[in-house]
Amino acid sequence: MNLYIKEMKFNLKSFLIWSLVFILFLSMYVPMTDLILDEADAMLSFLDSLPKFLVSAFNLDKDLFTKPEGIFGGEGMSFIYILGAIFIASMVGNIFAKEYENKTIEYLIVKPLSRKDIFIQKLLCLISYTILLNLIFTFVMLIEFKLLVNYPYNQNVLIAFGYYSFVSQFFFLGISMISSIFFQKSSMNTLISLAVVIYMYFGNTLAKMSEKLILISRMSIYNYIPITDTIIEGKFYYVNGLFIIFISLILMAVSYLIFIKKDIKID
Amino acid sequence: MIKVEKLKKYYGKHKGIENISFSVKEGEIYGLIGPNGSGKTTTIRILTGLLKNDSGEAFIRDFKMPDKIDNIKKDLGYLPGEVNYYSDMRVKDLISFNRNFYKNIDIAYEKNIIDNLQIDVNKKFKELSMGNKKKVGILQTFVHKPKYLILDEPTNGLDPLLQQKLYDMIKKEKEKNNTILFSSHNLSEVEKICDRVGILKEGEVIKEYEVDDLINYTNKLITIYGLKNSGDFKKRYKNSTNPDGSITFDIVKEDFKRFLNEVSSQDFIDLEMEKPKLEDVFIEYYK
Repeated sequence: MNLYIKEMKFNLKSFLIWSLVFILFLSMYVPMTDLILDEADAMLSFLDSLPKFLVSAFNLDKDLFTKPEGIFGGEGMSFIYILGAIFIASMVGNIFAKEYENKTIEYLIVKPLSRKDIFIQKLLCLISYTILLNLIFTFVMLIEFKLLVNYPYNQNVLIAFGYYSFVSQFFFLGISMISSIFFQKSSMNTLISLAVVIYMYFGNTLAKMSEKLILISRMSIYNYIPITDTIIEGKFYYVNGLFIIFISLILMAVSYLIFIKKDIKID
Repeated sequence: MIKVEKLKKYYGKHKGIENISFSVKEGEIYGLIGPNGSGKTTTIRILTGLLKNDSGEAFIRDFKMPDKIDNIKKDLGYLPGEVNYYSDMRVKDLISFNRNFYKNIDIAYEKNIIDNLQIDVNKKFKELSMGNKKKVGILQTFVHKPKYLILDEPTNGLDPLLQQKLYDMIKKEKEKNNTILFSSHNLSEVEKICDRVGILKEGEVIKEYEVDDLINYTNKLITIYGLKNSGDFKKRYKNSTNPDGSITFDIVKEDFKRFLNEVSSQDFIDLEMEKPKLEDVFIEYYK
């Protein structure tokens, strides 16, 4: 586990910064919950005055604004998904693409460690940090809601947010690993992850406006872990999440095959 | 033993190597010589598992490369042409990280190399000069006492003193009956340490020599000062006239005795004889 330990140490600083970003975001957003709910009537009247397509496009469902978890889930989670995708892209870039960019992969490949072991130890590091970040996110969210929100809320919905965030990041782990190993460039990796998360998240939201956009929605992972349903109807999509994790594992297996077979070209 | 047979590698349509064959016996130092782009590094990278070959075969001991590279990694020391390690790591951490890849690193031997090469272990790798980075590379290559050493232009960036230290280290490895493949475009160092050389040109081995043969059995350059009646010699032997009026004859091995017999009966002031430098021999192949 020599390489695993080295990767954990090397990326600790980056992980701590990202954890801080998530904590600060929660600390900025959660305290607003009571303020918004205090003026829920005015907010609902305002939403009534908006055209329906705009309400759909920006995920401004009226039912979301009557529950504390809805206020965070409706808009805050979109930022969590985007931040999560960037976090994963940057970590995968550090752990895989930069190994090619800095040409250190040449050193690693000739050490007594198979390509399979290199891949697995690096992947384990990424999974460890993904789990840790989402545990921190969920834990801080639960604590902040407990301390700062006075309106009644469903704690299970908040736990589901943590799970959805993990599922989303796990999926981007698969996407980022393929792009990182194939293109061997960290900047390309971030761009691809950002493009996919924006397409999938906002594509899924916009698709609610029209039946013509249903295909976009079907191609988005967020269609299968719908936050709105979880908040309003109390439906939890844990099995769908497992299915997305399974697809992510397939993406990781593809990236493994590329990693095993690809030439190490260093100019 | 390191063995390469009809090895071929293309990068898309661009030729890397084509039909490369050579073998390195145990306890031998084999030099791969060639200009930039001749295929030395491509050959080495297939042998070290970094690249996959298109066809042909490469072996280290009995293991087919690059597929079976994992079977030989513990016994393999590889020094790349450009040493790239983790730039933010201190050298001592890099040494410790490297140590954990092997079961039984001889700490005394490790310290001996560090002292011998005067490696500053407290600096970060990115703070080191090119030569000092190379020193760390040499340490990482030799520290686990590998039986097979693959060195890609190992003296690049080293000062003459360090070059000599590296030559000494390589010679000691040979004494231990270890097998060494050495690539270079510095011909004088090949002459100093290699037993045999393969000359690469445009991705192919065009000639293979024992270094001793190459030096002893090639043309001789004979410069004669004040030679009278030089006309007959000039007609029959390849020559060039120097600015001081002396004439240098390029005499092939077969004509050497006859030439000396003939010239000894002539009137001249002085005669100098020299072996052509290895550079001169190789340059013929690169024309």
